[in-house]
Amino acid sequence: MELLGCEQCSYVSVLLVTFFSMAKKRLQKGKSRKRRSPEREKEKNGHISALGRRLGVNAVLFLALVAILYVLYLDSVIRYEFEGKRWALPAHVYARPLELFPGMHLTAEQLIDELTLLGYRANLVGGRPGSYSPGEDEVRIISRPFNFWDSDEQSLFFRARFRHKRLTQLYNLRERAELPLVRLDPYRFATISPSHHEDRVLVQGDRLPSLLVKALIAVEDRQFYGHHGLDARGIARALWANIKAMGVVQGGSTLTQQLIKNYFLSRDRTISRKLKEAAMALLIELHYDKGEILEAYCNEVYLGQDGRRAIHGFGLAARFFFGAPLEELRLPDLALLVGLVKGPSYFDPRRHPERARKRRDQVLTLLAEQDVITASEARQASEAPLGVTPRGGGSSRFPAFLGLVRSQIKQDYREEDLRSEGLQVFTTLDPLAQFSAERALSGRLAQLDSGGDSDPLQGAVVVTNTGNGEVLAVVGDRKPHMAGFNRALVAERQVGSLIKPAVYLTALAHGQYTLLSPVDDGPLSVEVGSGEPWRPRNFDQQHHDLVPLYRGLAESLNVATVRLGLDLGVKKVINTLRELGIKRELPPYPSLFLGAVELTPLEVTQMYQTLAGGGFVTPLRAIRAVMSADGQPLHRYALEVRQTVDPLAVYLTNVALQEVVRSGTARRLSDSLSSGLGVAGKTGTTNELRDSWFAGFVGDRLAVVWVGRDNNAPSGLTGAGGAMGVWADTMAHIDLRPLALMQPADIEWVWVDAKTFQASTQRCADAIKLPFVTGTAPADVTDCGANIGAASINKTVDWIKGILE
Amino acid sequence: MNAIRRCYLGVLVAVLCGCAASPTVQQQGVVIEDRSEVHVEPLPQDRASPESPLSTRDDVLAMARPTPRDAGVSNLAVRSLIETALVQREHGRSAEAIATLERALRVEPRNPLIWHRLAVLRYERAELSQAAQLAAKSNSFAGEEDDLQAKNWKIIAQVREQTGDVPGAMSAHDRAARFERSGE
Repeated sequence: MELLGCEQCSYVSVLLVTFFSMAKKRLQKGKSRKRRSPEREKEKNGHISALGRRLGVNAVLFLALVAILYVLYLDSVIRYEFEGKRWALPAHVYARPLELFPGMHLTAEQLIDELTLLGYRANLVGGRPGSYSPGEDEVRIISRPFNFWDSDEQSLFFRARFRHKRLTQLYNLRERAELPLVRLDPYRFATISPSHHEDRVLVQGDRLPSLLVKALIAVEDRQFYGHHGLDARGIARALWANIKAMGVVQGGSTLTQQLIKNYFLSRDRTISRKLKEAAMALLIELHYDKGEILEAYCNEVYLGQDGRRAIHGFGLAARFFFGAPLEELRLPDLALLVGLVKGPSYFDPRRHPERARKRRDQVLTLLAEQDVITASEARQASEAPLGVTPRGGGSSRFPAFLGLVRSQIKQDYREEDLRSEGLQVFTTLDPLAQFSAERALSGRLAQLDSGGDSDPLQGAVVVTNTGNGEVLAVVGDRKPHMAGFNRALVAERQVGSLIKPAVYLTALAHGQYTLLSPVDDGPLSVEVGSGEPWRPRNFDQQHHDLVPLYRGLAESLNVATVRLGLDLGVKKVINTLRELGIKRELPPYPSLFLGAVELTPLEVTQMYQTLAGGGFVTPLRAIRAVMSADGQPLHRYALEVRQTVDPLAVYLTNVALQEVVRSGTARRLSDSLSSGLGVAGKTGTTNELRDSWFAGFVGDRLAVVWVGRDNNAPSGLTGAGGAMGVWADTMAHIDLRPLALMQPADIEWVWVDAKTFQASTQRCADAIKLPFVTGTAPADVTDCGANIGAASINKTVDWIKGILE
Repeated sequence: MNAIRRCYLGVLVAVLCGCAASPTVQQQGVVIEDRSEVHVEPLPQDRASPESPLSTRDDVLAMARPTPRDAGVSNLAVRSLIETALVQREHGRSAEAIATLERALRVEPRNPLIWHRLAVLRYERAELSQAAQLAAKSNSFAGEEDDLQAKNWKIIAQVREQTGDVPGAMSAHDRAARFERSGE
C-alpha cells in the first residue's frame, strides 16, 4: 500500500466499501430466499446449503477482490503511462544560433537561407514572431524569443541592411534604434529519441493555441468538459450514424478514450478492449483534471510517420509538416492538423494533398457551424494553400555531426538520460558550413567517379573555427545523409605527408634550424634492423642536392624530410605530435616522418588546429552547453587553451605552410580560391595513391579532407588531385577571413637567396623574404648569387658535407 | 534589483565614454559586492611580501573592472557583449559572463582584450591554469599593447605564485614590470 498515493488509498477504500456492500446485499437476498424454501428441503440440504452459502459468499468476495485487483492494475498501468509519457522526452540537438552584427560578412541570401532553415515565413502579415519580408538590400524580421544558456533573447522586430556582401546595419523597428547585435533562435537539427523511434516536441498546456484546443474539441469531442471519460450521447450518436450507414463511420470515443488508445496503440476492436479502455478512461479522469488530459492528448496523438519515426503530438507535427513551432501556425494549418487526427496516413498532406485539403475544409466548415470561427474566416482559410514543407523538418539531417556530438556528450551523460530527459543540447554546428562541405564532397567525388562501383570513392570533411576549436561541420560519407560509417570519426587512414609539418616544426623548435637551413635531398639509405635498407624516394623520383628547409616542406620532399627527421630523432618528432594534440600511440620508426601512421580525419584536424592556433592546443568541441527540458543550465563546455609548442617555431612552420600553397605542391589551389587569402595548407598522398588528403586553414577556418576507398584500394588521386578540390569547394562557400599570421615579437624578415643560403637584397631577381628568429638570419650577404658570395657558398657546402659525413 | 542594474549600467556607460568619472569614482561605483564567488584562497606568500613591488591577487581582481580603454573596442557587437559580461559578473553569474565573452570571441577571435577578460574570470573562479593559459593566449594577440601584456603577465605571475612556482612567478613579475615601464 505504501506504493499507492493517498488519493489512491481513499479511492481503493471506496471501491472496497462498494464491493462489500454489494456482497452483503447478495447474502441477505440469499437468506430471505432460503426462508421461503420448504422446511423439508432445508433439513435435507441444510448441510450443503450452508456450505454453498459460504462458498457463494466467498466466491462473490473473491470475484470482488479480483475485480478490485484488476482495476488497481489498470489504474497503475494508466498512471505509469500517463506520468511516464509526460516525461519521456528525447534530447533536442540545436545548431549554433546565427549572430548578426553590423560589419559581418553575410549576404541577404545567406540570411534568408538561415531563416528558411528555421522555418520563418516569408510574410510579415499578422506580425508574428518567426516571419520576415525581403526587400531591396534589406530584410525585415520578427525574430523568435529563445532562452539560451547565458541569457534570454526577446522577440525583436528589426531590419537588416546589406551592402557589398556585408551586413551594414541592424535597426530595431519598434524602438527606432540601432542594434549592435541580434542572436537568432537556433536550428533544431536532430533529436536523440527512445529506441522505439518516437519523437516529441513537448508543448505545455498553457502554450497550446486556444484555437487548436477549441477546434479539437469541436471536431473530436464536443462534450469534453462535461463528461467523465465516456460520453453516452456521443456513443449513441455514433451508434445511430453507424447503424444508418451499416458500418463503422463514426467513433464515439472521447478525447480521453483516444488518449488511452494512443498510449497502447492497439488496433483490435474487441469488446473486452473497449471495456478496458472505458475503465481506464474513467480512471484517468479520476486522477487528472481536464487540462492535464488535454495537454497529454495534444502531446501524444499520433499524426504521421516519417520513415521509422512516428510523429506524435501537435508540437512535433507542426515542425514536421510546417517547419515551424506550433504557436506560429494559423487557422488553415491548425485545421489541417486537427483533421489529421481522424486518419494520419489516409489524409497525409504530402502523399495525398487532395484528401488532406478536403478534410481541412471539412474541419473549417464544422468550426464555422459551431461558431468557433466565423463563416468568412472559414472561407478565407479554405482558400489558403496547404502550406506543407516539402520534406520533414527536424529529423536528423547531419548524422556525421550528430555522431561527434554523441561521442562527446557520452562522457557526461548516460544514454537513457539523452533519450528520456528532454535535454537541450546546444552544438557548434554551422549549417551553412555543413551544407557547403556536403555539397563539396558529393559534387567533387561525382566528378571523379560515378559512385556506381562496388567500392566507390569515399571521403570525409571536418571544418572548424581556428579561434576556439569549435567544430562547424562534419561529413562522413559522400552521401551525407547516410548514417552508417562515419569516416570523419572512425576511418583510420595513413596520413602520408600531412605529418611532415611536425618534422619541420620539431626542427625549428629544437634543432639549430631556420627556414633557410640547407637540407640534403640526395639519395639516402636507412638501415632498418636486419632486412633490406630503406631507401625513401621523392614522389617524382627525382633527387635534389641541398634545398632550403622551407622548400623541403613546400615541395613535400620525402628524402629531405627523412634526413631532417633522422637528425632530430624519431622520439622528438613523436613528442611534437603529442604536443600538437595526437593522443594515440605512434610507431617509433623513421617511416613515421613520411606519415606511415593511421589517423582519423578528426585527429588530423586536432593536429592542424594547434598549428592554426599558434601553438595553443584547443580541444575540438562540438557542444557548447546542455540545458534541461525546462531551461535550467546543466553543463557548459568552456573554451580551453593550452600552450604546448613554441609560438616562434609554429609561426615559422605556418609561413612554410603558406609557401606550400603559394609555390609548392598545393599551388594549383590558387586557381580556385583567391590568392589573397594566404592559405596555409598541406597535401598528403600515400603509397600507390590510396589516400588523398588536404589540410589547410585561413584566418578563421580550418578544414581537413580525406578521399579514398573503404577497402584501401588505390584511389588514383594525389592529395592535390582529390582532397584539395573538395577543400577548395568547401571553403568557396564559407565566408573566410584572410590568414594574417600573428607575428611574435622576436621575428625579423630578411631578404635571402635560396640558392646560396645567404642574405640578399630585394633588387635581386631570385631573392625572397623569409622570417627568422632575431639573430638567426644569415650573416653573409650575396650579390644576387654572384661572385662575392661564391667563396662562402663553397664554405657552406663543405660545412654541410662535413656534418653529413 | 533593477535599480542596481541601472546604476551599474550608468557607471559603465560613463566609464566607457571616458567622461566625467574619475578613477576613484570608478572604483567606488563598480564594487564587487559578492566576494563569495571568489574561491581563491590567498597563499601565505601572497601577503608575506608587502615590500615587494610585485602585483598581488587584488591587482588581478581589479582587472575585472572596466577601464576607459575598453572604449577602444571598435566593434559595437563586441562592446555590447563585453558590457553584458560585466553586468553578469557583477551579479555573481560568472559562468554566464564567460559564455558571453566566448560569444564576443566568435565575432573577434583575435581581440586580446576578450582573451584577457576570460583569463580574469577564470582566475576569479580559481581555475588557475586556464587563467594563465588564456592570459598567454591574450598576449599572443596583444602585439604593441604593453599595458595589456603587463596585466596578462601579472595574472601569469599570480598563478605561478599560487601553484608554488616561485622562480616562474619572479620572471613573470619581471616581464610585467618591463611592459609596465615601456607602457608609461
